[in-house]
Amino acid sequence: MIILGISALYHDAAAALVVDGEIIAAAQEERFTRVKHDLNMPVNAMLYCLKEGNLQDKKIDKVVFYDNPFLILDRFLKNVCALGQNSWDLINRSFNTMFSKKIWIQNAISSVIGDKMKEQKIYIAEHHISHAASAFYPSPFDQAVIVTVDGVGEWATTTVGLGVNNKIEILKQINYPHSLGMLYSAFTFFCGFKVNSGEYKFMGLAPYGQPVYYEKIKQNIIDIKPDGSYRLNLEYFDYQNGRTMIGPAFEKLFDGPRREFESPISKREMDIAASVQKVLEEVLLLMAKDASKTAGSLVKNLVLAGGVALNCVANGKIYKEKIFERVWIQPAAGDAGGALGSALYLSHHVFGEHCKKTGGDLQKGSYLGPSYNESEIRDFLENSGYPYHKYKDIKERNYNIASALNDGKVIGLFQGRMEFGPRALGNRSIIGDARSPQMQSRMNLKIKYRESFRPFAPSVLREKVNEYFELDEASPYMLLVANVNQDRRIPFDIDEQLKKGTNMLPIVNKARSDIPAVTHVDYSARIQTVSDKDNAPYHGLLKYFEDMTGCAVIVNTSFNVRGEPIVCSPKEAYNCFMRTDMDILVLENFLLYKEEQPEFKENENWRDKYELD
Amino acid sequence: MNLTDDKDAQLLYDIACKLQKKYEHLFSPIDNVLQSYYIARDRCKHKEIEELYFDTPVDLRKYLEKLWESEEDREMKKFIPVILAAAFKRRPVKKDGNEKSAKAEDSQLPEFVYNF
Repeated sequence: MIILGISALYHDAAAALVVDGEIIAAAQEERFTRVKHDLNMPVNAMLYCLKEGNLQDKKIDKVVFYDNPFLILDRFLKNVCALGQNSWDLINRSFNTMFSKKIWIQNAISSVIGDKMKEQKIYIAEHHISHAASAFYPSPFDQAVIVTVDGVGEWATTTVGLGVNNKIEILKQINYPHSLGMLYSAFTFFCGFKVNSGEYKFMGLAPYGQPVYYEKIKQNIIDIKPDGSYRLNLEYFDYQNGRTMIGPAFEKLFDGPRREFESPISKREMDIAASVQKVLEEVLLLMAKDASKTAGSLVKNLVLAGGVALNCVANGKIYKEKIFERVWIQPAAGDAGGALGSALYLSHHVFGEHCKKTGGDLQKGSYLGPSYNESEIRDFLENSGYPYHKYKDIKERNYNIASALNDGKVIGLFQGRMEFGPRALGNRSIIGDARSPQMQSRMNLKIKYRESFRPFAPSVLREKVNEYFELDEASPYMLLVANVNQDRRIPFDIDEQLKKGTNMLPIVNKARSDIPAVTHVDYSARIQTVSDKDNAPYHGLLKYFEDMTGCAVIVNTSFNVRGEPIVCSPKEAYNCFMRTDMDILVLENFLLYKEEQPEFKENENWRDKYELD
Repeated sequence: MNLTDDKDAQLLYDIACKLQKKYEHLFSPIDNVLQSYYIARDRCKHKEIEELYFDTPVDLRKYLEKLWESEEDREMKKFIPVILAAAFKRRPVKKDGNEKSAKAEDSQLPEFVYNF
């Protein structure tokens, strides 16, 4: 059965194709439109999926949308009723989207691919079922506890369920407006980062601070029960009124107005980030412990999805506590993953298609997007007149890349199929030498053009991960955080450093281990393990680098600049290469050196194109 | 987006004001007595998945009546006429190719508001 899953109209629109229960393709719309977190109908992603599935002469059996517009309408109207005379802001905010877009989702889909659909009716899946399915079906497990946590779906914001073979059941949930995702976003907003995109930065800020607001948050903002269920004190929030995230009481509680976007970060924001992170971890750990009890001792696996499951620091704590023997997290845990989950739910749960578990996961390394073959890349380079070197095989290519990394060069690496989910996993990545103490600030300021405090992630050979980090599990999707091994650390006291001032540049330039570029200020690292099975070309490159230098770790960051979606095509990769301080661009077996390229001219200033995230 | 002059939006607002008494305690506050804030799934009326196809106001009415079929939701049915009017007045016109971008509309939203 050919099933197309779609997510849209909230944030991170995406499409995913599942054929006979197997994941064939998945991509986020932002990668094609170049609009970060694009929420519009994912026309390009849908068409890409059809192309990847070679469906030119076939019809799609079923189309499924990842949430239920009628239940959203129910929530919207009841929220409006609850506010009564104060509801005008909420009506103003949502009325047109609700009645011109959400309720007409079938028409919007049909207008793009109607001629490819066997029937004009579509399926609408519940938002958290889509998340749950995205976590359970691609996981390696026949049985698992499923926890989903995000901002809000229709009503649910948190669910606990169970997956067994082909079936998924949600057992209990927490409903809007009580939401861990909203709580985290509210603090993200208060600390001057953008909601729905700045949460990841906010998490990265936490290790600079102390959790001095932890008790204050627990006493005033959130009530947590021993089973991890929670409610928020709504007096501090304003989102339920359709206005902003937080109310005046929130600002009063945290010593003044929120930080303005792009203004200097103070110790207060660092401490708030540390405090909220601690609260979030506490809730998630209690929830995982309770879910384990609910499921019984026979279920030894946990799967996670929903935007909050992208908090890899919390994931690392859950893993470390060993509440479950094994943990698997959907790499596209946010709403994009809902497209995949809804398609898998329809395939396996509704139509009973066999879920072929083989020991490993079924996510295919999350390399589910477009790829470009040699002739396409050659044509692009020839037609554009860009000088290049073509290597005859992967060995020669890897030797050149490894040598350049060893010389401190920064390289744009473009190969294979594009990743599905927010992390670049070696196919649309910028890579550098993790041993360089200056690499973090160089990459942040001259290549990514982003805030200096932000850490970078390591890619490490799977077979060597425990030689560098306190982790002996695979983490192929960069969703687990663990510390650098003790014997690699260099004494470093972040509090002492911050006494000299909150300028983070000199702080990040101080080496904290023998792989400083990927060691955060608390010695943590957001790890991607690379195995030959996950990504043979990337594994081969890492192996070459290790043979040459004795180091099995490199820096891996997404191939984009701040505010830009990760590059999709060779042209976008080239543009990003030329706009930044990168030294070398690798397009499959083609290598381009910056100094050999012609002067780069653009009609518009690219900085105006990408809104800061 | 300002809907001050939109008749449907105004009607929706008027109904909501009349129903406020019933729903003003919709959002449960913190409760020190409760042992858990979890809601058992069987107490939720959510459907995991369902088919969707409507083309006429009559079709849409059926979905809405089903949505609010329980006694508890009886009064929500008062919204049905205004929903039908609002939805069908805003029915997207079929076009070839790409849907018109929602960006222009959305860009008028406050920058930091959670988008839902």
